[in-house]
Amino acid sequence: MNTKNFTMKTQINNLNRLILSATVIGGMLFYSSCEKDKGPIFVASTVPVSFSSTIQPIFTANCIGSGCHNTSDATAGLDLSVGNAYSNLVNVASGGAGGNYNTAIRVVPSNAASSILWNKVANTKKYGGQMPSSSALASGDISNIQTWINQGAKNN
Amino acid sequence: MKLSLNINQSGRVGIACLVLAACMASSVTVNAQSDSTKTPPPAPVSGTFRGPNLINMPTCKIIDALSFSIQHRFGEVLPGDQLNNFMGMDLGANMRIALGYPIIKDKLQVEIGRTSAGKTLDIALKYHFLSQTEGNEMPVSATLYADISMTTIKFPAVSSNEYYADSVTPFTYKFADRMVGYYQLIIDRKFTKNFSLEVAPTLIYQNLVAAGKDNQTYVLQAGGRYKFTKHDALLAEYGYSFNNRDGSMVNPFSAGVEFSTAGHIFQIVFSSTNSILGKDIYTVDNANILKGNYYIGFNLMRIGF
Repeated sequence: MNTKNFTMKTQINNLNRLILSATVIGGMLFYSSCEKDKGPIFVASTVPVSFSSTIQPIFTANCIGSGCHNTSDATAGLDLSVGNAYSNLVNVASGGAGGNYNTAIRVVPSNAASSILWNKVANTKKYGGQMPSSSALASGDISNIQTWINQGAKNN
Repeated sequence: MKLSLNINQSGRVGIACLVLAACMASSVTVNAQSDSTKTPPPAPVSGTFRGPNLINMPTCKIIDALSFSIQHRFGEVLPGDQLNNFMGMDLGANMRIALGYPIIKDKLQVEIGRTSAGKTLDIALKYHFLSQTEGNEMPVSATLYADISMTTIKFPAVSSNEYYADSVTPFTYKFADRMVGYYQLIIDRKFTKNFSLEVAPTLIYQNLVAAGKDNQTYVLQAGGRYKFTKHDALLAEYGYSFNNRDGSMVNPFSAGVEFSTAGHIFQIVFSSTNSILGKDIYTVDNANILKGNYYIGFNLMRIGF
């Protein structure tokens, strides 16, 4: 009799646990599939972005520290210091990351999505990890780089 | 974009699967009780897989006591750079720690984990509703698995140039955008005393995806284990996603060696991905092993304290 009571109690406990678990996970399932959002996409501004006054200062502030893309270290053969950055980027093939993407172009004018530079700063992982590796650029800086490339990557 | 309170099709599928599992599990329990007075039920096969995870993908195994696990992947090993970064050890790692508990013995387990990639918290429920039997009356085991994860990373600032995919509605991040659901039916079979296989059709639902992608990703995974001594085994798993594939998409592959004792499982892992959660493995680009890029890592689990 005691064994039968014990078995029944165990089954009721199991049923309670099952109902509780199903309720918890059911609620989470609902919330984890309640949206169907896609985005964000960037709609380029018609205001021209200047390389010298907008883009180069981003490189100077974030990319040319010791051991990085300054003239003396020029990691991965890329120098982003003033006077050298433009000629190192636009229509130049990369030789970095063990030859994994050495035929890709650092900046393809009018095509940010195909440019290594934008893919690296936007951390799309298309060409390895994010740059700067320590922390991402501000969203506005990434947007400005994207706009500058899509506007033709001019040396303006 | 308006907050939609209507649950979409994928959500319905997930909930329907759970309700179905509950019904099936209940009926299995009731049948087993009524039959027990007549003939003993067929003995379930044991030891199909040693742990609740093969390498990354879950198995049908329900843990039998409180468990603690660490899954660790080192940084990407690049061709020609193996020694410089010591097989990825000098680079940023991805790591998950988790606690698991069997809510109902041999039936239901819960696991709560925290992963460094995306600062992600996740809670997983695994429901085992069908067991392979020794006499082959039931040829396979089957389990439902649901893992709900939430990134706690700070959303980046949104500029005034950013829109939803319609290019009209200004973009804003919502709390629900942090959530991803990972739903799986796991079917496994022990073919011989040393060899087991599993397959797992999987649905991943992301509340927020990049423009041009589907919110749901459909995946088929397969994995196997071959025991070469009483406690040691070789492991492998592979997966294929049917949509959301970029041109350069590499199908994830992992292999490993497993060493186990009564209460511990230790695995050394070689993989094309440093992701640990399934929702990342099939939605983030993998390294191309054929080009010499790969990851090394390990899994460590203690079951019972």
